[in-house]
Amino acid sequence: MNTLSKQQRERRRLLQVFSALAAQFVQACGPRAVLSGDAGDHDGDVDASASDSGARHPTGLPTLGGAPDTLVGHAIATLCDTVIPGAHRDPTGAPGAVDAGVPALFFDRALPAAALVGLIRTVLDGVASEVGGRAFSRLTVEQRETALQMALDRLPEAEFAVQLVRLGYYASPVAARHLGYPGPNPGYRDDPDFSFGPDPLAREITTGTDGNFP
Amino acid sequence: MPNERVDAVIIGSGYGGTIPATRLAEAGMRRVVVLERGVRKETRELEQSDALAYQTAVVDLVVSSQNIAFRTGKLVGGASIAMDGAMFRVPRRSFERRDGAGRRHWPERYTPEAMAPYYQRVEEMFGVRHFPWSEIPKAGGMFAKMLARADASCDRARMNYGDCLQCGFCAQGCIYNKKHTLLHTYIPRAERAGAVFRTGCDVRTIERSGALWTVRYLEGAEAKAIDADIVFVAGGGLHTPALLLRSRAAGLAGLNAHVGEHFNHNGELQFFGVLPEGFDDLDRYKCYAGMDNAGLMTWHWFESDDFTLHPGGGIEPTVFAAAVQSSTDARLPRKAWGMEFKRWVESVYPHRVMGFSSLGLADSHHAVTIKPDGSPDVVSRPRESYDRYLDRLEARVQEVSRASGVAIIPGYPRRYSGMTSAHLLAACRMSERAEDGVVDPFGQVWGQRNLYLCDASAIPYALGVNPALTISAVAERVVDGIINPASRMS
Ligand SMILES: Cc1cc2nc3c(=O)[nH]c(=O)nc-3n(C[C@H](O)[C@H](O)[C@H](O)COP(=O)(O)OP(=O)(O)OC[C@H]3O[C@@H](n4cnc5c(N)ncnc54)[C@H](O)[C@@H]3O)c2cc1C
Ligand code: SF4
Repeated sequence: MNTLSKQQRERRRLLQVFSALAAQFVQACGPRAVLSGDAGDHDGDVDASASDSGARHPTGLPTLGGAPDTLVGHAIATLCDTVIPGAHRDPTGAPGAVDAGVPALFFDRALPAAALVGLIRTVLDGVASEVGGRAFSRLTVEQRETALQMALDRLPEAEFAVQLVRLGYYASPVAARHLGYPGPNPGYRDDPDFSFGPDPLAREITTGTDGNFP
Repeated sequence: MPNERVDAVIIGSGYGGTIPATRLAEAGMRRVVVLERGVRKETRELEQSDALAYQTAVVDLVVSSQNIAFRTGKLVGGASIAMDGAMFRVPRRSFERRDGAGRRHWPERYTPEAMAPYYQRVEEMFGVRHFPWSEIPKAGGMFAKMLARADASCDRARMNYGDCLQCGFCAQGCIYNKKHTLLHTYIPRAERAGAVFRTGCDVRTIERSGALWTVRYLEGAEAKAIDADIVFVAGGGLHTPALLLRSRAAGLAGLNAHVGEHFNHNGELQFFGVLPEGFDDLDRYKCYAGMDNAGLMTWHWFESDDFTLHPGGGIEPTVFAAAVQSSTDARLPRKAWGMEFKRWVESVYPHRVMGFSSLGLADSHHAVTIKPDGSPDVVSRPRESYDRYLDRLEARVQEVSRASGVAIIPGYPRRYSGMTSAHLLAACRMSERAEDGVVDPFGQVWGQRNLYLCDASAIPYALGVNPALTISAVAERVVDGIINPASRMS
């Protein structure tokens, strides 16, 4: 078996798994969909000690968001932070993917993405060496953005890694709180802003009163 | 040991299974057994939960080998537990639809007039009512206003919800008992009449045993068999064709080549809209507040372009943010990641987001097959005609966008159209002639005495509206033909 065909197979697998995942998340998601139970409650304080002590992590991130402190972990955490920037570099202080623990998703053995982190790192480090001559996780923020765009242009399948970060972040309780999405609720029927009232908002054309089109 | 022996076995407890089970038991058939692979979840066991583990316990997510995800039922009551409440009669145009050779997709005996009494019966059972504007959440209101700006019409939906509290968790199962599912309607009647619903029974194959049918299933790890005079296959749009294909592979003779073909997801495509600044009182609008189907339907383009549109409510951040793709539309983000994207999502969610979906009379571009383990798969078929439908649909949606100022995000790239579809029709389609389909006009599988099939997969073609009411009405009519053979003459 030569390396190329192995790589092609892995690419296909990447595409398959991420698009299937994406499909699942898209249709089924909301807060806690991804970060179930515990992981969701830790959100912001994963690895908080690193920033407290003032010791900057070599990735420049205050936390790896649940990714292991290994080179693969660094690559995934910096990818997540490139897709949805974290509070540490957001002028408004809004939380991002690492604050919501998204990197941990890539290492969750229950999710198929775990099998792909090595490949993702290979792809990212490949473009990173062209952009800045070092690993993706050691690039500056601007270089990472250039490198990620380059990866997406060359390997459209990589979009699914971005999609997974997006899904992971926007499905998290951190994002729900930040965007003001309340989740479970007793119903909005009595909310004064619930509807526009009893008058038709557009021309109705069904004949008769049963609402069925003839 | 001889197999257990009953009068009727019904495989699957969705609309296409529960309705015949109910009517057969009420008509006096003594031993009616429904085999359902899923569990029974009473209202108190349902949750307002977005957790994937919970969601996939309520709805069966079938991911095809092409990575397209389809949703179908997996509880007692099938997808009636998770459905979004829209219950329309099919317009005449859908019944009259013809194929390229000029042949009607529906058998001749299916017309609005002939179906009216059956529609009425199921509407009464499900408590279907025409929603008033005052019960339409603003997510629907914004959709209507968008259409009004484009000078298009918009009508209110018919739904099987009682005094809905508008919490937006319909697809998770209604914890407030406001949705009239099969568990609220037919199933208690069926049980009073003596029908038995068995859970955790996964049917693998059916076979002929003389004049009887033998149904083979797994209850946990245990293989069991049950014999019946009459069998209804009602596993839903994907599992019914898969069961027939498995049975054929195991030796069931006489099934024709249409099994699994013509699979049709009802022209369903999802869109999101981003309302322009100053569109309305945007600060007081929240896209998540209200039922999942936001209670409206436009027929504006149905005659000219074959599609309807309906709004979606209860929009969570994920569903929206995940759909955003990089775009050249100046009102949308250039790329769907990075600081600019993050700022953009904050600026539009939840006050400027709306969602809507199409349904339409689109040709099939898929077929159902089985994977090596016998589970259903969905594979591609030629799609030129389907792409032409999408061209028309997208062109009209862009016209609405221009006229209303609403920026439109197509839900998915085209190759994923139908990605999240829950309308899984026609893979065992009904046909006027044996050479054109799987099921005869009376719901019996062609050439297979006493093997019936009247779930989503028997619906011969796309409907352009939500299918549950029509599946139910067809099931009523099929079982009526068995109980009262005289009704077959009508
Ligand atoms: C989230 C969602 C929202 C929807 N909203 C609407 C809506 O608003 N309006 C509308 O009209 N339609 C809606 N639909 C579609 C509608 O619910 C389906 O078209 C309809 O339920 C199909 O009925 P059915 O009887 O064919 O199959 P199902 O309802 O899917 O029932 C099939 C049953 O068979 C069981 N089964 C399958 N295989 C086996 C086996 N081998 N052995 C034993 N049991 C088996 C399954 O577990 C399931 O319970 C929605 C669907 C979903 C998922
Ligand atoms: S929106 Fe209405 S029907 Fe839907 S789950 Fe809430 S109360 Fe039930």
